Amino acid sequence: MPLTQDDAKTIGAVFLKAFWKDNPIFRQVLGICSTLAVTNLLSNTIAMCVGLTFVVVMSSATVSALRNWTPRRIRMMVQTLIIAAYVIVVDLLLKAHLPAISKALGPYVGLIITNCIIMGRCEAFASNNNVKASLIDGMGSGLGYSLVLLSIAVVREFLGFGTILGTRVVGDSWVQWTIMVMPAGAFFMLGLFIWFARWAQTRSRTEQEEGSP
Amino acid sequence: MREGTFTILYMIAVTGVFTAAVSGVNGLTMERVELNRKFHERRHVLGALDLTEDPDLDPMEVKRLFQERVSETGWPGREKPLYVRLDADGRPEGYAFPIEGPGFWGPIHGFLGVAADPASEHAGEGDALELLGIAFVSHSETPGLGARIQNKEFTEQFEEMTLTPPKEEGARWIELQKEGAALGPNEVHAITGATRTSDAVETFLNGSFHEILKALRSLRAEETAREKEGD
Amino acid sequence: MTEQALGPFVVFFAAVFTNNILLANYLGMCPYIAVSRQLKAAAGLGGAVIFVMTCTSALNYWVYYYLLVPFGLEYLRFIAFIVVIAAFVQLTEMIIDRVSPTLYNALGIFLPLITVNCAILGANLFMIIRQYAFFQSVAYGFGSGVGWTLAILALAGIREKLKNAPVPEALAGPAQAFIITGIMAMAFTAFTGMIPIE
Repeated sequence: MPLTQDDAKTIGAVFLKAFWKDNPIFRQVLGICSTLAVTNLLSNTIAMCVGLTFVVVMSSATVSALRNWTPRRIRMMVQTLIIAAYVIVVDLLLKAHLPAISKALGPYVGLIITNCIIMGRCEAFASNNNVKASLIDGMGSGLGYSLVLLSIAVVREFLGFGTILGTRVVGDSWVQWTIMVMPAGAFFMLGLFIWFARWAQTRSRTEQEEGSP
Repeated sequence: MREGTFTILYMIAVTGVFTAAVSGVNGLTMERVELNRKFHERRHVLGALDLTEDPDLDPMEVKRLFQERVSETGWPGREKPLYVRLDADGRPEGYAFPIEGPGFWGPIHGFLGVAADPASEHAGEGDALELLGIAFVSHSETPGLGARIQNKEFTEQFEEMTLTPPKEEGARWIELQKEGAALGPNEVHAITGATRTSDAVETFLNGSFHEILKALRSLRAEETAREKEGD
Repeated sequence: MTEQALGPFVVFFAAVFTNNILLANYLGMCPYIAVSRQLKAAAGLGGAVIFVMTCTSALNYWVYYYLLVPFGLEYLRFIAFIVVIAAFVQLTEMIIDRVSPTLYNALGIFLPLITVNCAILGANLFMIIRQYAFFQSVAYGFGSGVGWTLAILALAGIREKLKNAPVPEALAGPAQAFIITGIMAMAFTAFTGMIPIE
């Protein structure tokens, strides 16, 4: 079935909302745990982003598909079960086919289950919308998450190790800001990022309001 | 059907379906996962035994080296296997002892490679541990920080170190010093920013040397006895 | 099995200070940020978290070692633990509702929040990874809960004081909370080496 003009607008709107306007990290402040834990190395961050996006898309789709059957009372338990199942699948597939990445991510893969973003999207969107929309919403959330993580990771790895993706990009006399790769640095970076992102959002919103006749 | 009954049945059904799906994937990947694990461990054993300098040795090479230069034996007195490095005549040149201890996020497992007989200058000193190398097979430490115990910069410090039992009761065999500090003969550099992991490694390593020396003496005695019989 | 047997007390103190589950292991962030505006709410949630963490540590210890391991089903631990945690919280909610409606009204909203507190699942997973024995596991669960509560109380206290301070709008709220937490994390790092856990 070819996409109509309306379809395109809806897809775009849903995506944009999940990706930017309601960005899971700097707007909703969800999924913080992994944001802090893996962003000290860009390579691990990329793996985590891919893993999380996969799980949030698949989980949203599945929860949406089952939404008319699932009794209200056990809604959250069922969502958690579905998420856990997909995470285990990702974990097993990584261990079997990309063992180096699996070792690098280690305990964090299991913690994708409790990543509030996935649960948040399932609860807020997927349980009330059709499968197609849920897929897009999941995609938008996953990519919105990735945007924030990758931005933070680039800064943390660069300042903390002087490398990007493992390759040194600064001279030998560069003094590493080791605090950047420790928890404190993670918190600071995240705080600054949220501050900046929200400021950017407010500014563009005021401009839009002032600009419109 | 009453609502409560449906709820319970639904929960059971959903749990059953997804558990089955996960078990299915587990069954499909199990063999591969085990192969990967074995290969990964063997590659590290080769590193600990100083049979390779290449941290990315390919599977065929690992298999070949293992077939030609490595065999297994038992840790005297314990239920653990030891890997043995063999020379051209099939005699033991070195042993890889499994070592483990608690790290910061979780337990750390690895191998410590020790020469079967100390080199000339320490010959006759039944007390020296000549290290071939060290390799950390698994851990749950922070990537980029504690996880750097797996990096060459850290592990190569242990190659060709010779350790002797400390004179004082309870003193340490090996000490980890701050990066940049000058090193004594039984000291290596710790990992900056990973104090807890470094301390953990120092502790469990020091806790294991005594046992390893004991085992080594026992293995040497066995080997000497075997050679005498062979004559 | 780890050779050194750590006493439950040591495990407890480490979980509160040196290995604080929130400041060192980054777990339990979402409810931490959301509920730290008021000291009272933070205390309520903290109490509930301590209770759930301690009990589920014990429960999941049994589930893992007496149900999963004997049948070679360790890979299902994520599912099993989550189901246990969710069921336990649900059960607790129902019991409190029946026994004391006043307590339920005070705590009510917190309980569903706890199910998705990654610190609970995280603590349960860690106790397995670190191969703690039963009493160590319970001490660890209890300690993690206390440590988490300590962190959220500290943040809530600070945020309440800052409520009337002139702060740019984009900075107020989560951004500010994270920067404060960063400073707290730095402070807690000073505890390293105080308690020889390893």
